[in-house]
Amino acid sequence: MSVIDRLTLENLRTLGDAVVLQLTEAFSNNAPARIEQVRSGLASGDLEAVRRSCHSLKSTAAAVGGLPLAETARRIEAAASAGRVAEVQELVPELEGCFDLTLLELRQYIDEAAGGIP
Amino acid sequence: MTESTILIVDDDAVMQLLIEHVLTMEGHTVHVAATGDEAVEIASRETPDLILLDLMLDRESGIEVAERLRAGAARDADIVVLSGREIAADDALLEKARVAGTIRKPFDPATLCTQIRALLPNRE
Repeated sequence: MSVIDRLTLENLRTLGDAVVLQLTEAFSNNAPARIEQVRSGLASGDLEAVRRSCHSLKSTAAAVGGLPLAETARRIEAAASAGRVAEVQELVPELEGCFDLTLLELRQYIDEAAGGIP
Repeated sequence: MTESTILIVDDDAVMQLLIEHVLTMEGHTVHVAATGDEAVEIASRETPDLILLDLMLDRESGIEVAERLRAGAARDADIVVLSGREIAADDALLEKARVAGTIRKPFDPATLCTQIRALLPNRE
């Protein structure tokens, strides 16, 4: 099952293929830092840092079509906001796995669309 | 067609790029700030017609930034906040900062265009 919503990416292509490439590159460059902030926030017990990082990741992921990643980030944000540490601990590995898959599928999309995207 | 000067205040690179491209394609002059300090500095220099302001910046609240902008650099600009669907901003605080509206994230380019056009009624 795909972790990328292709309709979102097709909508972005109305801005031009170069823009899609820029957006996916910006996601690839910036999202790993958010994932790391989630890990370090959880390790240090800083749930506010976890919440804020997931809040940002949620919007960013949704913007590039990573809807399952956005949903997992949303669930962690809610759990962190409510102080439910065990739930955050349970969901972070899911976030990491979903993030890796999202990056992989975004790269595949760019490769497949290479005829249109320089 | 009326071109407007628009300031985006968002600390996320993807959202900055997405909004900037949409607004530039619509013919607007666009400036981007990642922090409240940058927003105040750019607003002082460029006097934007419209400010799109993320409600939850990394290190500060969008409402606080709106109040800082209202205090000097952007007394008369329209300020619209960008917010996730689950964020319920305090209406009294939004009213105090004279926030003209809310754009819900995530959005696709066409939806953002429609909402921006509605916020800029002079545009034909």
